[in-house]
Amino acid sequence: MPETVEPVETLGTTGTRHLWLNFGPQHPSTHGVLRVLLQLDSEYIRYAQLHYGYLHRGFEKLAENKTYDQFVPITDRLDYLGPFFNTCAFVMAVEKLMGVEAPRRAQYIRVIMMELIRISSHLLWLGAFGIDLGAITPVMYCLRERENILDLIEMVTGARLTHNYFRIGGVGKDLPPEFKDRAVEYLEKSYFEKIKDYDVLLKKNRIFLGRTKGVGIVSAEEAINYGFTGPTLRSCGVPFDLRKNDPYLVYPELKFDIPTGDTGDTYDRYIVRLVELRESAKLVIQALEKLPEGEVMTRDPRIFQPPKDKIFDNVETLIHYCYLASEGINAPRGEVYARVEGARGEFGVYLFSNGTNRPYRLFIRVPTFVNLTIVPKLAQGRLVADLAAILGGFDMVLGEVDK
Amino acid sequence: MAQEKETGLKYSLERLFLWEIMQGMWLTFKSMFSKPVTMRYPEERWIMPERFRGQVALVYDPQAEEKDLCVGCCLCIRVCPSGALDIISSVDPQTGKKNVDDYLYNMPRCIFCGRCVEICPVKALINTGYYELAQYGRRDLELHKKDMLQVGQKWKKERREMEQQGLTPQSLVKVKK
Repeated sequence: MPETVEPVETLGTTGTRHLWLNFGPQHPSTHGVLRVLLQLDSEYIRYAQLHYGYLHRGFEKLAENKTYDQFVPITDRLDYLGPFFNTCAFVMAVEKLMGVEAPRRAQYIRVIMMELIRISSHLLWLGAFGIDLGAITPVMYCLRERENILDLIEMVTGARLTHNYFRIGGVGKDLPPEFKDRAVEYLEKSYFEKIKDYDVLLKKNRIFLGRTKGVGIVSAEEAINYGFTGPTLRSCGVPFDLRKNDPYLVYPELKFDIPTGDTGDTYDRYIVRLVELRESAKLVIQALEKLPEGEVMTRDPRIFQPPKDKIFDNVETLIHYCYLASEGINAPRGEVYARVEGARGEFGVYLFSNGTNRPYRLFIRVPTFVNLTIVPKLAQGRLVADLAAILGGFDMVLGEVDK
Repeated sequence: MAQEKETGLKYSLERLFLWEIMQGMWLTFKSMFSKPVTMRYPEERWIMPERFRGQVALVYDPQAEEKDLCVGCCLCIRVCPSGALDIISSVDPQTGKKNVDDYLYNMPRCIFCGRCVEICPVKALINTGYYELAQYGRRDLELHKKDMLQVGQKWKKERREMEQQGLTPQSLVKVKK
């Protein structure tokens, strides 16, 4: 455990009493409903404590009362800025338990959708981070770009936020025929140019540099000890990415770089995410080029629902259809852990099955909840305004932190 | 990542003349001449994409007049993650057939995942493109079979008109008052 200053009621350096201040749950810099309890010595933070749980919806318990199929749309509500990661982790856990694998085309589609949502999530973070530091302009441009990405996603999934697209054993529907051209055209023609423009707005801006350089420095060793994952870990100089280190889906077949930072301060977190924006777009283009033909849903009879046109042909098909629909998928006994590299870090699902159609216990490992544990230590001795920069650098989504 | 040099004439000049601020200002200045990307929402709106999942509705049997397709198999109720649907049914004592007396759709509970539409074996349920679903009272959001059939009929009609006009999904339309 890190050594923290205990909150004591003594006089501050200026001879005044320490001030207790609630940073949140309604503060805009907390990006949701995070509450940070601060003890201030004039404007410096003496002691900080995080209070989670204002958005707790009890997903883990909820899963125990739902069949595997029914829980898939619910996972979209966890990390609502990167819903595909949550769904993919859950779906992969069930697939692992049942010993099936999605067809290759479905795996490629999953990679495409996940990288698109990573771009959208990082763009929103870039805009929100600018606002945290007083730069109002980037958010306008970032939301404009994000809109284009969301249009592409909406075309495929039919929704902008709660997609419900991945299924156990594949994906819901095949890509629409015009998707490939539209996505490649957008990404190649305007996307990279735009990202370059947005980089200009912040990268060398002296106010931005003053607010982020040297703020919230985490060493590589410390980052590993605290269990960091994702861009936050890579900004500390540890080249760890689940897409490379524990490959899943078709990531080994695609070429991409993992950006790392030097010092591990908030500025490095910005740089790493900016590089990731470009890498993800390259991944989407590569995956679209390599996209194979074929099925998008596995043919395993324990999962595959017969097509609607054929169910009235013979009674066995109808019985199978109705049985699968009403009973759900019966997973065998066992325990599995599946993890994906989300926009914020390792998103894992630990599934304990007792052989019925519902999970006996579901544990969800969320990245930002773990990453944020270092915030009280980083905030100590810093200004209150720096806390906004530190929290912004972690890119938290409270729907995920509070589960 | 290579650290940039923080000495030299170029660096000093850039510091002096606020070069990075100027670049940012130039970007903002340029965008004054670009076309706005926003839409004037209540007057202009989108044609929803084909896969959009809006309000759920029932459809009439295309072969028979005033008859819906629902057979009362209750699969939609089994797959619904939030328990938004319900069926009230009775058995006809003479023929022994199952009658669907009422179909209940509790819209405030619906999470618009589209599982019911996917699973319906007789294609009696559809996802319409309606998304402005606010009402004054909770009672107005609890739809019955009659209301759902009306919504479905309205949607089918609108969709047909749209196709006749040659409008593609994800394009803007002006709303006439």
